[in-house]
Amino acid sequence: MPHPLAWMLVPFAVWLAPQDPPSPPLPAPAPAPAPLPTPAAKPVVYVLVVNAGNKVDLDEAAARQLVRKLFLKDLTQWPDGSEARPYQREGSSAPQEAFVKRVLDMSAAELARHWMRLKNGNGTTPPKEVDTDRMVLKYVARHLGAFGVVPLDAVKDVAGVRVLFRF
Amino acid sequence: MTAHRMTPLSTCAAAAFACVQAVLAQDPGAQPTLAELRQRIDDLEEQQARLLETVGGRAVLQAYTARSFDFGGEVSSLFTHMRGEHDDRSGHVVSLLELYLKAQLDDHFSVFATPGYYLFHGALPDDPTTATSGDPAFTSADASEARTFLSRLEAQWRHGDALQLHGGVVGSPHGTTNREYFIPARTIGQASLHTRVFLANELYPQHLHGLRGEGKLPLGSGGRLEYDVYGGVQDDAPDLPVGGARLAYVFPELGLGMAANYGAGRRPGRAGEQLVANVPLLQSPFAAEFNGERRYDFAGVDLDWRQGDFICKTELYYSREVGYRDQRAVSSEWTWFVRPTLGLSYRFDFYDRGSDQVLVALTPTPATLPLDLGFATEHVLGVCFDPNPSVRLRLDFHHLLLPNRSDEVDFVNLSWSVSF
Repeated sequence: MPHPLAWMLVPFAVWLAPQDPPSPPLPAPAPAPAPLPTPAAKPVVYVLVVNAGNKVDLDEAAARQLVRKLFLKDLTQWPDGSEARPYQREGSSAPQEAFVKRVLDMSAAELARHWMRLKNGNGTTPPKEVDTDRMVLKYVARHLGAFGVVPLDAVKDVAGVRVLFRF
Repeated sequence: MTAHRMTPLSTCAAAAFACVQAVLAQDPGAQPTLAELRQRIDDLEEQQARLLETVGGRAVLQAYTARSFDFGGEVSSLFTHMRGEHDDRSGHVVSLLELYLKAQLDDHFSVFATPGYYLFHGALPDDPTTATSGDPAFTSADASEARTFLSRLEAQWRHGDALQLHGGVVGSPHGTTNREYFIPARTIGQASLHTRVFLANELYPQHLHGLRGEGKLPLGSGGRLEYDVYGGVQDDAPDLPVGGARLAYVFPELGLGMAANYGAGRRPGRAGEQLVANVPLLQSPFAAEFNGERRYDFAGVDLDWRQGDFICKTELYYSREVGYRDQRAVSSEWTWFVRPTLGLSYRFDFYDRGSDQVLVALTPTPATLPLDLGFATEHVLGVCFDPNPSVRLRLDFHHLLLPNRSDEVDFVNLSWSVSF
């Protein structure tokens, strides 16, 4: 009779096992007509916007590094002492995915673990989530330490904000 | 059927609106404006729909004087199956619920409190009828208890990143597991050997009633210096102060933090009937409570390295126990998330508890003798699965060498945590 310890492994073994049975080999498909060449999709350019009154003046690499720390709440103040107010987009939105990958250099799971660690260390909450580009711009224009991500096109002729860097 | 009468005014308005629509629809230059207006209306409707789903028709919480109020918590539970020389046992060890309450009054003042409820069943690998520790012939459930507790109750004042003060029931800055404290963040359910007793001071204090100051100072190229200082008293010794500090340097680009720690205090002792009542010390090889009162000071280093899907946490501590043999502890935990939701962990623990006064006779009066408490080692292999970022299931295999003898215990812990 197997040892009781072995029984406790059964659920994990089942979970780790391949979900689908191996399928029988299929007959070779008929050669498909060659697809028409399509132009490569141009990646959307996003910008990190800050309040127009924000005096931070750094080169792009340093600005990215600072924004990373402020967004992850490793630091909470801009160099001039003003309180940072990060805003994030909905987790599966294109701007948020681009920001997490290109600026934070993290995976979504890594970011989720980061917030879980902070919450369970001292009760820190993630940045407030904002739904639309226009709302991000409104919040950023309203608060001195605020920052957020919008597509480059959305920031044209918008008063009260400035672009810190694009990505 | 009732015929609707249209007033001349409404007829004119409808006609005018139809004309404007027709003109806008036909004017190619107005099309982008129309599309943008439609998009903005869509966005507003979408926002309103989300807001109504969140708020619903129920009462909305209103904070008395706080600018913001965060409410959350966690539930964790752990079951174990243990093998001993004479017997095997399975059972529930611990369940706990903790609520997180955080109220922000303004940019400087806030309050963080975590009232909790704790249910514990002691499956302790020892026989209390013998005077020596480390006999894995189990005594079951003698240490069952259920109680409320407060692991954090902090009034916070914040000057900025450089200085924050916390007063009340605060966590000590020592120990990589202890710094994360709340269980949902752990990849292995049980804490390391030298912090295994819940909230206690085995080698260093895990929490205290007092004051803690902390800060972060940018230093060097992108790095930062972090400091913590604290002073206060422990739950079981309100008249014996403890204090300490931690100084760390963090390399954010490497995901690496290294820290030096120091602290000092006085451990309370027991005498007479209290010796007999010290059941944890009689039963557990890792009890927090000592019989022999002594002064102590400790030093240690810790390292926290997080790079992508790898996490490494290591700490080494040494405690000088005046009048007794010193304590030593090492813990090193490595985790690799092979998938975003699946992590594998290994941890090695070494804990030498030094020495203490151990009960050797009950009559005519309880008598003690100094005894070496020995050291223990433990290897833990763990699997954790996060079906949701706020839910963690764990299966941990422990191989424990008990102190002072060659007895070994294997046990499996199955635990889960939900953070909300």
